Amino acid sequence: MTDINCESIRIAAMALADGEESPLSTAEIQAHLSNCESCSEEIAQLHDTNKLFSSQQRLRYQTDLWPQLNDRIQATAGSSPPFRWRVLLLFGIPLFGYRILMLVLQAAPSLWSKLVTVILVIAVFSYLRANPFKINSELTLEGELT
Amino acid sequence: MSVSGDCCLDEESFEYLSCQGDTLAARKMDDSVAIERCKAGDKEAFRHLVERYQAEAIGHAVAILANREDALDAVQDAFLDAYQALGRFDTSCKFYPWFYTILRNRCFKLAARRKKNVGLALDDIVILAPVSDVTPEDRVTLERALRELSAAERELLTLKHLDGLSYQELAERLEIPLGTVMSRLYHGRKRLREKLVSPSFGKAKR
Repeated sequence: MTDINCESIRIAAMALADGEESPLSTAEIQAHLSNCESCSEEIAQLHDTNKLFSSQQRLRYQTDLWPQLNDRIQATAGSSPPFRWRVLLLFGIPLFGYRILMLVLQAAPSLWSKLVTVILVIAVFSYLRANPFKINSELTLEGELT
Repeated sequence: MSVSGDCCLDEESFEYLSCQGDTLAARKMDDSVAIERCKAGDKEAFRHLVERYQAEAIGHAVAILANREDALDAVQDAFLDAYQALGRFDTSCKFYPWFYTILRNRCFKLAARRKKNVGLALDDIVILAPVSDVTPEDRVTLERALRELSAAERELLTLKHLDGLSYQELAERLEIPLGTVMSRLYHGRKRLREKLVSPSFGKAKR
């Protein structure tokens, strides 16, 4: 009886206890539990924890977020770019454009291949409406579990 | 049915619940109607969504972050994100599951920035409500054990036990396969159990 086998039995037993469809049959689970003391013990302990948890309720908060949120929506709607961004837009974009133009005029083949790659990547992410910089919470979970 | 005040919403969209006050909180409106109106530029209609879902959202954010102040920030940011992204919302879908995705994204970003929960006393209760069947001691113990888990484990366990979501609903809400839900629930419960029986919690017999 391997650990992996025990774990699948425990997962299946908990699913069954939750009233869900279990990946293993009740007979398979029962047969294993009758021969495996550590599994029976752990399942019993988890049942107790579930019982304690299931009699609890979520705390309900009565905070009204609208006044602050309304201010933020108004501020966002009527806001113009901050001064430093306006300076950047005013000088940065023309300078950047000029630099790109100069590079393109030199027609370095490697530059073209890089530009095409960057444009393609941006196009793919825009099409998928995906944010490549989004934090993946699932990775955090896996890290914490191991 | 009459709706007083200078609000520009149709009377038939509302169910008047109270004669006192003149806020949208006192009325009910279909989410789809509110969203359509938001898309048309009616900010007051968004207020309906905020007032309808803020309590639920704060509860969910608190369960992930285990911190009241952070949760309020996350929920506010999430509502702002939702307001700005409402144009892309498919009105044939339900609002809250869509909003929940935005909310949990905000919460996990905040949780990643604040690795350790600070500023919360051991006996502060932010997730669990007092109920007659449970002793205050048990509630504090469970709350402290929950706070020791990761944000993702806390989220999953509270959605399962406090909201009573089925495995299928959990899979849809968290956008993970059904098998992963089973596995994570088992490991989350096991970790919670370990915390509850650890001597530092003083409830080793449970």
